[in-house]
Amino acid sequence: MQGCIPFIFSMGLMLTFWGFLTFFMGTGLVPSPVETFSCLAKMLLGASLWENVAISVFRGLLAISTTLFLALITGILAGLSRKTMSLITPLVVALQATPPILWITLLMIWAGTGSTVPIAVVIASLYPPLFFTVAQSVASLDPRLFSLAKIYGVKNYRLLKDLILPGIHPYLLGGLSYALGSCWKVTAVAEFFGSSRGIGAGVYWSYRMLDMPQLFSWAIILVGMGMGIEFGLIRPLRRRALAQRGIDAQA
Amino acid sequence: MLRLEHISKQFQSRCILGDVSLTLAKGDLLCMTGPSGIGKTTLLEIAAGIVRPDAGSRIIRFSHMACLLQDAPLLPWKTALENMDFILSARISGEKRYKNSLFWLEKMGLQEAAHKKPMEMSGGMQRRLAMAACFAGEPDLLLLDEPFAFLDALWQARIWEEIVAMNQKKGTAIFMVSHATEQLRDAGIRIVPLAASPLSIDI
Ligand SMILES: Nc1ncnc2c1ncn2[C@@H]1O[C@H](COP(=O)(O)OP(=O)(O)O)[C@@H](O)[C@H]1O
Ligand SMILES: [Mg+2]
Repeated sequence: MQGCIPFIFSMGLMLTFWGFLTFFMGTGLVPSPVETFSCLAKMLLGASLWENVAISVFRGLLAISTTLFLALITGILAGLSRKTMSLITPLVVALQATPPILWITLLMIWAGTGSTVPIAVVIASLYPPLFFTVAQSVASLDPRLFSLAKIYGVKNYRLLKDLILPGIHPYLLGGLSYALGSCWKVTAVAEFFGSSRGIGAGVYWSYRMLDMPQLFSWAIILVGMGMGIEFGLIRPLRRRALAQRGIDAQA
Repeated sequence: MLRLEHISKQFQSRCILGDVSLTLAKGDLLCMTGPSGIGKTTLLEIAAGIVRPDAGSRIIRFSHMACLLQDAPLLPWKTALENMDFILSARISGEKRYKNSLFWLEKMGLQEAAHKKPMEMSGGMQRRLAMAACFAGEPDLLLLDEPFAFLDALWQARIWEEIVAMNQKKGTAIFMVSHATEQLRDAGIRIVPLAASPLSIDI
């Protein structure tokens, strides 16, 4: 019960602010909380909302697992070899410097408005930070452990399982928690511009129809799910990462 | 047989090894001693093949090398037994690896610590764990960097006994470097004192 108080306080503050906005700007621009929640209730009973949410979640998960897979493979290779690292770094920095809006435009032209745009945009924007997280944490592993493994002819598979993955685990959790947070927002933006389905597309259609209660309902869904990810996934992950780093640092 | 021929090595344009040649055959026991900073670790790591010399060649005919590195690195997130399993994974298979590991953990007085992680062990225990991994691998060439560091007199004596036993009973070739070798003087082994820098040796 104690833990609910800050939550209730924040929500109360937000609703008050919202009420003021409705009062001063009129229900045409800012629908009242009552109107919004009744619209949201209607949407929750229909199938289309769930379909769009499911599509967005599926895209987000597919994109983030693909990114993780790519970042692990390339990051480990780069972390193990200075030469690979210096060869590939400018490329990844270029990728990092490319704004998502550029990917969205290009991919819309190339691939139309299916799932490709949001998935590819998430991969393009999350790959660089995850790559650097993996590569730098692999490079910071104790080189003497690799020497020892070399002397005893330890196989690559054991090197990966017992040395590299546990060694980068805490940093990976940190990087992943960051990626999860932005994955969600990037998916929505990409869907807004480049997809006819998904939550971002829902926002787009409400905008086109100027259906303000619906737009506000989507906003509640987006923020609510974002908060769910933050409190349910990201913070526990980060806490574990910190605890793990503490344990390893003592060793 | 291990043969180093005309090895030289510089660090930041400071010459550590000038011209080092040495041969180690089956059954040899060679100990080098000298003040710290003279290049003992560098030489041993070149012999182990983990540091590349600037010039010279290294020929090795031994097939099972074991090595105690200067600061005895261990996987911090694995227990003593898991550390041994990792190090020996390509050397001995399954059941025998487990038995050998337990046997040597016990010999090194670590039976209680088999399921402890390195951070839960003292410096001496960590060194003994690294020694256990060296012995358990049944090497035909054993390279030891400061095998007596962090150990009390009792453990120094016990480990020295095991080193000699391995050398005499199995013919394991042993090359060790240590800055303190008083306890070995009366053992009648070949001790090569190192003094001048850069090192030039031919043995
Ligand atoms: N990786 C390195 N980079 C720069 N200098 C090094 C490196 N390794 C060793 N040295 C230098 O080489 C010298 C010999 O070191 P070392 O072989 O560890 O000596 P010893 O083991 O006899 O104490 C030292 O002066 C040390 O500072
Ligand atoms: Mg040394």
